[in-house]
Amino acid sequence: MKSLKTRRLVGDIVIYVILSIMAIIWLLPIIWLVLQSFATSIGARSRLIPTSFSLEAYTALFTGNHSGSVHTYDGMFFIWFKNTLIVAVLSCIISTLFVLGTAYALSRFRFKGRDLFMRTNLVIGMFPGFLGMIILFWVMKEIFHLQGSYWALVIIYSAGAGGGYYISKGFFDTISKSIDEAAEIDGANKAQIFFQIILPLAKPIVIYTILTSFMGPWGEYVTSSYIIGLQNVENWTVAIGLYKFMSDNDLMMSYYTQFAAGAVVVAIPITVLFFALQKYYVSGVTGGAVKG
Amino acid sequence: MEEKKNVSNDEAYVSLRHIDKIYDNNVQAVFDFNLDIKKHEFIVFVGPSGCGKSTTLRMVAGLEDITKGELYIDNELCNDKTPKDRDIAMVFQSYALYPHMSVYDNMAFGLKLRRMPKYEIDKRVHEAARILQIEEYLDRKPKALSGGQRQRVALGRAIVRNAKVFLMDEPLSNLDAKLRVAMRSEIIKLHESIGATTIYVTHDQTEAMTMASRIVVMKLGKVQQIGSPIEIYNHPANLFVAGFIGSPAMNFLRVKWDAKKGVATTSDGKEIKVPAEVTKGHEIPEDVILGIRPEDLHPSEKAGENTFDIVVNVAELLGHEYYIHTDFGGADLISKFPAVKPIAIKDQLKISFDVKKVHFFDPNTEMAIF
Repeated sequence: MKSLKTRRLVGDIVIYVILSIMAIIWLLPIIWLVLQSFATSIGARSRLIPTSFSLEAYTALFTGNHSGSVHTYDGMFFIWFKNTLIVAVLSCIISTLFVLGTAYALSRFRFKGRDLFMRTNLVIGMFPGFLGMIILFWVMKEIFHLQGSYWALVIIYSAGAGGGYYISKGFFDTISKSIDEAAEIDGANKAQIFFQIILPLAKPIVIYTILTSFMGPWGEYVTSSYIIGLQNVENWTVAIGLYKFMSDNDLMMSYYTQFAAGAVVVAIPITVLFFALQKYYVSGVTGGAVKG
Repeated sequence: MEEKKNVSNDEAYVSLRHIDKIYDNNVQAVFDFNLDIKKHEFIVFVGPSGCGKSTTLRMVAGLEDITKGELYIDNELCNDKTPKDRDIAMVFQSYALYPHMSVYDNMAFGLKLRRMPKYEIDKRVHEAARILQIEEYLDRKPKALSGGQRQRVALGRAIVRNAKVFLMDEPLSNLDAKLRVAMRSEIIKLHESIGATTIYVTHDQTEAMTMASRIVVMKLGKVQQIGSPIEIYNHPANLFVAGFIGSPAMNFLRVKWDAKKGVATTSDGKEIKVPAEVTKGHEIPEDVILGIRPEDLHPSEKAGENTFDIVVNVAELLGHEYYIHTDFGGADLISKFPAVKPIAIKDQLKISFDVKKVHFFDPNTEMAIF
């Protein structure tokens, strides 16, 4: 009896020690980043706890006033933030509609080429997205004449979004088809069924789709950097800007704390969005699971 | 779409003419379905699963395309009309309530879509709720209701619409046995009071017998017989209908018919004498199937004509009566005995055939001779 208790205790200790180490490894960079963002620019770097604290980095980030050499990126962060927000919000709205619409169509309608489409989509999805880099670049440049502009990103992020319908379709498939039929007999058209019946019933998956289609464009670097290009500074997104802060050797010194502050600011919208929607997400997943 | 001149029977409110259903995979589910339904009739489609009864109902609803044939509702050709333009209401087996809406909104949804004024919606919903006794649940979500209450809401959703035709697709199948019987009589009462033309699909012959003004018996996509419950019970058109309607099912015995003597001889030599007035006017082949319902086999005390000694194989006690199984003429013969005294396996009993109630079927065509 005693040995069982001891064994259980030892087991618990081992598990908790491992979990704690993992938690520290995971949290350390974030804590470090947050602490650096509140440091004065001199004497930050490579210390976990900076020698002096201030809000200097945050004010510099948005106003461009800082103690150091003046550079073209001064005060650009706010513009990048705005660009990113526009791209992410628009892409989020459009791709959410695309994803849910595609999923609904594939879940409910039987049409020629449906199976072929699903199979083709599956195969295409196995190739890495940036295989299309060059063709996307030329399409944006020569057909849309949007190369260098962040509007190109909205098109790129949204256009192919429908291909990621799998999870939503799986969820729609679980909603009984006779509910659609009942609504149809009640006099609803397909759009009314989709917006008034299916979407409210699929709330968790709607929230999930909104979250993922916002987070994707929000932090995306590869596509945005080559589509917008390094010379179009005022069209950059935060990902390009923050990367630039750290990748230019002559900037690294003076922009180090601003980089940290920028990274913290960038994390805020996603955190807010997630916490705001989490309630529906969880209640949607569990609500109705148990028969009342 | 003006084809009113083609309507042959002025009385027909819903008319199905030569309707075929062939699915995309070339499986034919319904063959040449013909039926004229009068206003206020309660029609029941009954048959085993896969007989095409639900498919036919769904074609009337507009949820399935009609491959061939014509469907008229109130003298209008409806083949190409969408469900919402056919002015029908439907109750589903799975209730198909909208889980995120209250009971009130579930019933009001169809009316709101038709842009009915608010006070009218309110009036109709409350009236339907009163009839169905669900007034106190109007604010609840379907999740918070029992199965029977949910089915009432589904009925309510149909009632408020005041539609031309009510379609019900096995609405009671999801309920437990006791509730099913209760809801059955409620639907009958409901039909009495609002008089809606109804098509009701079920696989349960008891529901068909108790509810229908007319029954349509189907098998493998083909109509077997159409008639009132009593017609179908007393004069089944073929072996299938005879065996499907009635519980326990009709007994069938393969017999040799001697037309001169009027005697049917079973394979084990028992002779059943059928009076001439029963067989009069019918040509009965030598090889024939004799059918008799368990309720037309009566217990007997003394030996006599058409009375036979039997040995009980199985005795099923139902409370007020026994179902007695016995080997008779090469078949398992079932008869009903009142439970006045206990009956056990291996008991010796006497049964007498009520020969006025026998049926004869042609073994080749399986059609009833009478």
